[in-house]
Amino acid sequence: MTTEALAGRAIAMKTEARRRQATALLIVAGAVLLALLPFAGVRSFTITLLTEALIFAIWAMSLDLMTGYTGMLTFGHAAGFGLGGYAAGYFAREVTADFVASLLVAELVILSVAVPIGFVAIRLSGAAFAIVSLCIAQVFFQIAVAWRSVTEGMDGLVGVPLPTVLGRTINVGTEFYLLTVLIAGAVCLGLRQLVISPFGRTLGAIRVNEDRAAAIGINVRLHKWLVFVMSWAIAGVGGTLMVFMKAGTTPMSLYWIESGNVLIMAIFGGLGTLFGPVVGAVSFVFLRDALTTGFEVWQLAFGVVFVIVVLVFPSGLAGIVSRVWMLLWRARS
Amino acid sequence: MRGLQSALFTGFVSLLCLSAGGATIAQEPIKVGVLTIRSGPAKPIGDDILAGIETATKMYGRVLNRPIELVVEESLFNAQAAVTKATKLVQQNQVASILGTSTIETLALLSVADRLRVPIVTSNSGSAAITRERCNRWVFRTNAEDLMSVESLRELVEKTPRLQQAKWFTIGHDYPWSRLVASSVKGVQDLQYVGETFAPLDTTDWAPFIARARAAGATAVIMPVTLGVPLLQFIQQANEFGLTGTAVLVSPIGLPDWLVEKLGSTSTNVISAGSWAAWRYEEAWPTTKEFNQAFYAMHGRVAGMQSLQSGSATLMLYNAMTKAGSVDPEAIVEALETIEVNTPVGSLKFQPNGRQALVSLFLGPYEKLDSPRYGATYAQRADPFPASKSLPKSAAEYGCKL
Amino acid sequence: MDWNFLFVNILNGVVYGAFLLLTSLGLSLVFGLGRVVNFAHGALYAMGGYALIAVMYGVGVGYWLGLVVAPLLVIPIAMAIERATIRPIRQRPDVDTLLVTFGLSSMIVGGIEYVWGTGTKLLPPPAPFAATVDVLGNQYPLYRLVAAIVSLLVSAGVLAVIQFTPIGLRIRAITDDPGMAEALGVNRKWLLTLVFGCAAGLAALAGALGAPVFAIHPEMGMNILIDSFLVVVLGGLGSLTGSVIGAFFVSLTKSIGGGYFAEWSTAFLFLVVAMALILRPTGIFGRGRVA
Repeated sequence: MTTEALAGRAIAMKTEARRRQATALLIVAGAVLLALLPFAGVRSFTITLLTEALIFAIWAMSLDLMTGYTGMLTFGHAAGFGLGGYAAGYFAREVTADFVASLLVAELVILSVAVPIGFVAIRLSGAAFAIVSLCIAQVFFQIAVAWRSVTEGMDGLVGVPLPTVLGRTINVGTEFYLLTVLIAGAVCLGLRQLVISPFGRTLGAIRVNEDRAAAIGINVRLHKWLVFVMSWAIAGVGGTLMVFMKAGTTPMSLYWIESGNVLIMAIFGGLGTLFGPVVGAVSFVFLRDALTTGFEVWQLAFGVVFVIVVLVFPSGLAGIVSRVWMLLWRARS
Repeated sequence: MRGLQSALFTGFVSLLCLSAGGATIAQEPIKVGVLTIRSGPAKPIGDDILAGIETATKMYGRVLNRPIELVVEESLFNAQAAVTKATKLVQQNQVASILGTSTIETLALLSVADRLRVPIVTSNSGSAAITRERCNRWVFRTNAEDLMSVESLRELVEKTPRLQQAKWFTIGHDYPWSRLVASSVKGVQDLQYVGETFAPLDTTDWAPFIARARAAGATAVIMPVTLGVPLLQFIQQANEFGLTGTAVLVSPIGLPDWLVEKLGSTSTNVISAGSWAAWRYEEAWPTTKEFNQAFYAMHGRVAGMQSLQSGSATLMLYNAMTKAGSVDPEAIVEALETIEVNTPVGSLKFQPNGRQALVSLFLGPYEKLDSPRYGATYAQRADPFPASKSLPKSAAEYGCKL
Repeated sequence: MDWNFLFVNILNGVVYGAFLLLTSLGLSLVFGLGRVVNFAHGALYAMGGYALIAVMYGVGVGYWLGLVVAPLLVIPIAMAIERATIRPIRQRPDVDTLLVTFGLSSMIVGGIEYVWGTGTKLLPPPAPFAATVDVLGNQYPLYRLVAAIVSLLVSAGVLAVIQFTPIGLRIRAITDDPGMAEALGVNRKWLLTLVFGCAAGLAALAGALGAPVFAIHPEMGMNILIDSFLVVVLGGLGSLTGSVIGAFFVSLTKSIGGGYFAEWSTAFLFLVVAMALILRPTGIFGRGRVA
């Protein structure tokens, strides 16, 4: 290799490293900015919608880990979210509303389910995996409807109290919003660290071609299994936040329509990117609210926008943003 | 001198602004939120609920010398979305109250009622828990709850020999309500119960379930099926498969009148186990007649069960605001607790220290009218079954501790 | 053992299976040919139902004429959609066509809601068939039987076309080996558009046939769409024989499940499908293609 090539490589690597640092800073800055909004006079309902959007963003990011980074398309991602909600909500109402405790219980329940199910499910790929995920979620839905003594069936779990942190009750509104921003930011940073790590790179290899990845010695099954479980676990974080925000949940949180919604959010925003799911979730929540208020063409408008985005912006909304971001960096170096 | 002049001028202008402002405030509408079904198979129910609220609003006129502005939001048939929309109504639109909710939405709002802090008056929710063990000071109900309907079913069976000897079967969607209906039939003494079957929630094809009823030899089928188009489809399919020939169909809470019209003569195969309202009550109660006429004038069709009920809830709300003399939520709640109002479903007041209205249920067969009225050719006869019989005990005894 | 009860459930299963077969064949063809997972299939089914009432009540024709015209209206629309939105992105990863069809589904359903509203419309079966017949001592609606027979005949026709006609030969060639087929002179692009249109026509026909039974509302195609996906993946992606077997497998499971397991019937169906896929990920007749 020539000296110029080597030098060029070194510069590229340094730029790359600086760009990575900048992305991490961007996440933190974004979180701080969001946290300041309630104090900047933003309307309270906008904060309510943002809280919901950030909860969905956590859920969508967990989906992105499975589908965007590892290439495992799923039609049943409502399972982790809904299960987390039920577990946390039930525990909060019956035992204690301590947030950390409820979250831990939710995660325990999710792990006890996701580990065995994942072990079997990840043997499948592609369409078969997607359909089996759907089947799993629908079975959970039916269990939620049928196990009336615990879940109260279609009436749903009601009366979940406000969460407490270290004994202090977190009120819905600004306080809960800040909690959500904190957790969403942490999830985003954590996922980012994961995807740029060697583990994350392996996932990329699996996504591109499973057989080839296996051929070069990657333990594909183990990686997919870990991703499956992690994805469910993070979805459960979202579910826990949601059940506290809505003071309850219903079996509909496990229904295939919800799985479809989170898929829309992740894809619309941009699969395989970090900010994509966040952008997608925020867009989805705000668009849906604006378009369903006395406006019966929400589906039509949404569909048109969706088709245009897919045709013209293949990497989703975030693709546009990241392209701009890359351009900026190329201009600088 | 100049200082005094400018001071006087400023004072004069301020006074003008204040009085203008004051006059504007008096004209500023009172916003009332309506959170109901606006799409999907149950949309006709939401249409009726909204129509009833609109009629009652027109009938009552201004409240506290201010016009009423209805802000309508849809709940997307989803409890969690209902909470978001209710929050929007309160935070963004500053509504004084929320009307129009059904069981799903009311249950969801129950959990957050203490955060919303506005009175919620439901007229279409069956779940008894809403005003019993889960009662909440902000949530009022004007329709009869499911456990009250159990009593009216008992009354119906006692009065109808054909039903006493029938072989009972339950077919419904898989809601807790459906199982309550089933257990209420089983709880009636000396009744033959031959089976039950519950269908998954989005079932529209009832063939296997009707087959089960026939295999069990049912001669009375009670149908806790989702109110709306699903119920219509069920009755039509029951007809197609010949079930109506061998069994009488019993509707747990009555049929909406648009459904009765669609069924036509088939409606005479149906018996109501206690409807939440019946427009023919006008034969005994003038307020019902007034409402029916206003409704027909405004909407060109007869007022169905949901409309009569939602209209009643609306009238209770406006009367409470008038009595309270303000739209302060706490004041409205206090007023609601004590008022007694003439509504299209009778003279209504809420249970002392409770949130359930002492409302009648209406029994009677569906029959052909001698002459069409308000555009209807078939309608239910309205024999009232009073709350004194369906809800004899006190709120506290039913588990409501406010 | 109540044999009659079992018989009635099997009969119900076969009737529903006939409808499911129509939609599944279309889905399977589109996937086998162009690797397109067509999420808009349910919306096209709904379009068929609405096209039917538009023709019947807008122009004033009878049901049977409407039944013929409705799919014919949907086919060119579907072909235009394919040309405009799917063909340009065929070279992209499969996920993209999946997404586009998903967006199209929203668009079409939304368009229907815009024009006809969100409520449900009921369509009575055509007069001579609004009766009930006696099937081995059970009263059964005649219309359901007639609609099922029509579906089966059309499905048989489609399979015959695929198996015995020149155009069917080209379709099978592309399904087996697209590159080779094109090298041999098969106009792949045009054929894909045509097949997409015809598949939409099949879905629309199913929607129109099913309208008197299942009622007409914007989301009417969603349940049968999910069932069709189960069928196609179970039967093996791209395999028509698999779709035939899969359709009746799913419909019988659902019907018999409904009769014996009541509210657990759909969960039962999902469990069975999941088991089957875990045991045989490529589906019953799959050729090793899972993605």
